[in-house]
Amino acid sequence: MTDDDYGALYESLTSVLREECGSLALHKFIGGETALDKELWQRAAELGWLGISLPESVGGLGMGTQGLHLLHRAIGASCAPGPFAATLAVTQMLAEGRVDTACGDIIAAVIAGDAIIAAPIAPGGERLVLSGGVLNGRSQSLLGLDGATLALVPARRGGENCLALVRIASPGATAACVDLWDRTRSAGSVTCNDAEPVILIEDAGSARLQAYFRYLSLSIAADCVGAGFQIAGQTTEYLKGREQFGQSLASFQALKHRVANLYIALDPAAELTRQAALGLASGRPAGPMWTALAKAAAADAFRFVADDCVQLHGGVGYTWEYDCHIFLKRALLNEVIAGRSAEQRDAAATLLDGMASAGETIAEIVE
Amino acid sequence: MTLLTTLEQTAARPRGPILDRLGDAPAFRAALRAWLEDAAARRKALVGPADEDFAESQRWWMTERQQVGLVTPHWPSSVGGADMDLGSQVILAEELARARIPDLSMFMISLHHVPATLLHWGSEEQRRKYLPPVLDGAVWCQGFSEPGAGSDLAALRTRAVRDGDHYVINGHKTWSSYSMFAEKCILLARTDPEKPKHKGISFFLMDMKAPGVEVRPVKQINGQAEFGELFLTDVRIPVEDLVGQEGQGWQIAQTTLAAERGVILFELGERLYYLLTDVHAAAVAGNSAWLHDAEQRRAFIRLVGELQASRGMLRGLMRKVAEDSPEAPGMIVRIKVIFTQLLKAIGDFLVSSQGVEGQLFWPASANHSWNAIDTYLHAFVYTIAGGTNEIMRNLIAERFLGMPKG
Repeated sequence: MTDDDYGALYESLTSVLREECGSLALHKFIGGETALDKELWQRAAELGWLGISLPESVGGLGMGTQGLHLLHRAIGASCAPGPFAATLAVTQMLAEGRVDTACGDIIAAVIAGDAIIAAPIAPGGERLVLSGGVLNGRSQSLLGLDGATLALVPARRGGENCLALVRIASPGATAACVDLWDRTRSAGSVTCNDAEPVILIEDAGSARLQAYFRYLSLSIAADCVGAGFQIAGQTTEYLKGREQFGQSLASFQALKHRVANLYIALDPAAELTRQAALGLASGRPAGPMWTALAKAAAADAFRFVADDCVQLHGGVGYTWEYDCHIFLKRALLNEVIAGRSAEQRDAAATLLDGMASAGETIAEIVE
Repeated sequence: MTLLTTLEQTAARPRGPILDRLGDAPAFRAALRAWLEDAAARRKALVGPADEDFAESQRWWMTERQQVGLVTPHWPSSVGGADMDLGSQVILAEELARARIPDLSMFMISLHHVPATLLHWGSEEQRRKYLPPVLDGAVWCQGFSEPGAGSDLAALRTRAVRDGDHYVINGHKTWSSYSMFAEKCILLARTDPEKPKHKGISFFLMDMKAPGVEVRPVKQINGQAEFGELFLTDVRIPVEDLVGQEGQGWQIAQTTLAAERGVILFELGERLYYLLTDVHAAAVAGNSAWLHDAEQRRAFIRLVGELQASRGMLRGLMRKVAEDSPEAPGMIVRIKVIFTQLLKAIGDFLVSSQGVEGQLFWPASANHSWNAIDTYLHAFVYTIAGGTNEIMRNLIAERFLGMPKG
């Protein structure tokens, strides 16, 4: 696909979301008046978005990580509520492994909008115990738990790591959601009492769990970029419209420089995210490193931007009525998802050391 | 060759084994790499002035490039270039960076600003007279900024008064790179003080050897002197060396300044890539302390990511410039700030990662430009020159985000 094709795709994604997930709709959802998350999920299924990045062999649109990137950038731009990030990252990880009938059925159910998969919000945390074919224990924090039909939980069988998918509300598996400051996302934990996994994935070296976090990192990086540019743009327009001292706030140089800095922070994060998506798609050795660095850069940039946009709005930035706080709370959660920036950079530095000793180049600019 | 070299002779220069491979990217790259490996070996073997003296080493490198036709490959073939396409310019920049040979900074104005200006605005006579010598190593400088006209360049006060078939110039220019080595100067001077400030400026081609031109180097914070001040006293410039019409100087200068975008910064980005990989390799080989310091390690890897972003943005910018895209001007001002801040950050990392050793004064010649504090200090050239980053932020806000002028 060319840049123009990607541009057209992005435009089609954002136009639907602008229509269905504008500021008013978002505020109503946050106020508990609507089920916008569920509506958007169904709409996404109708439009084929939930399979955008999956191979055609499992019923997807075959756009790979670049599709995942654009979809999440659009979702971020609207602060769209719903379980997109975790479910789609798990599905992407499942689709790149051996897809047997059980796994294929789950992927098909996700694409159709009938399955939602909660999964770990960040690396680390306790693993469940798998013994005698059943799971026991309480999971770490899982992202996208509200309405989830399945949960991906890291577990341990004997001395080996594995990943298990359990059906929520099946005998022995109960979910408990918590309230987050970011009301556009949900989280919580699943407790298993002799629960039978529907899928079990061998993962002795944790490669599959890392693959999940890689897709989650890319998705959240894209979310940060979309959201960051959106709130920066809204803030610029607010300053143009607001008059004090008899003139537009946008005419003050101190504020102009602050606004310029928002874009200066976001541009490199956007470019790195773009390269990460293309790098993962082409399987380049540096792809995982760029993804970790993109997540760190984008999360930092979005947090900086969302924070300063509250300040640049002045008093109204501190109100529930304006959009700033929705973006800021999303930025705060995004920092944690898939690991904080320091952890992402530590992982990237280790990857660089490995590539350097293996004589692999990172010289290529991914296009 | 003399100033009378005709364009026809120029165009007939042999292209040589590297340029003959233009159009076949892998072969072109391989030929470049082979030549650069030889050139790097020759450079190592240099003894005497060319090994340490900046101007000598620049002239050595110019001669090397002349021999393979790689001085002005980006120029149109009609004036002695090779019509080199953007993809090949990218490969050239990448390979030059990879060879770790310093760039042709002394010839920056000659190779980019002079042709950009004359090809667009110059007379046929001016092109014939001034472009061919550039291929032979003529050094040009730029006489734009003045002590009282920096960010507000249009406030310049150097006067040009018509006297028969000459203009008589009086004034004081500054921040003129390598003017101490220059034979010629592209000069902005005010021909009409009555007109509004942007309208009364004209664009001249000045001979630096003309009576009344005095150059004084400006010693910089890193102890070097890349820039000079020009003191101009009753300097006579023939009327045929006025570019365009009287009063068009400001408009012409915009074309001149636009010439420095894209490829030059891209090549610098590629050079920084090799700097960072060299720093990393040296740290691994020497088991440097910073590799085991979580904070420094994160600072370094963050730079790796930011540089990768800048390299990608610069390549995207070059593509947009080549397409003459309306997006290009807005991208340039943002990239300028982003990339030059990154230069500072890289310098900052080098300083902090070297600890006390980083404090050692080591006069940086062109051959040893990666001294930590020198790298950090020298980055200010980029955050200040070509429009300070503060001016760039104004432009971002006013021109590209539609915020009103205050």
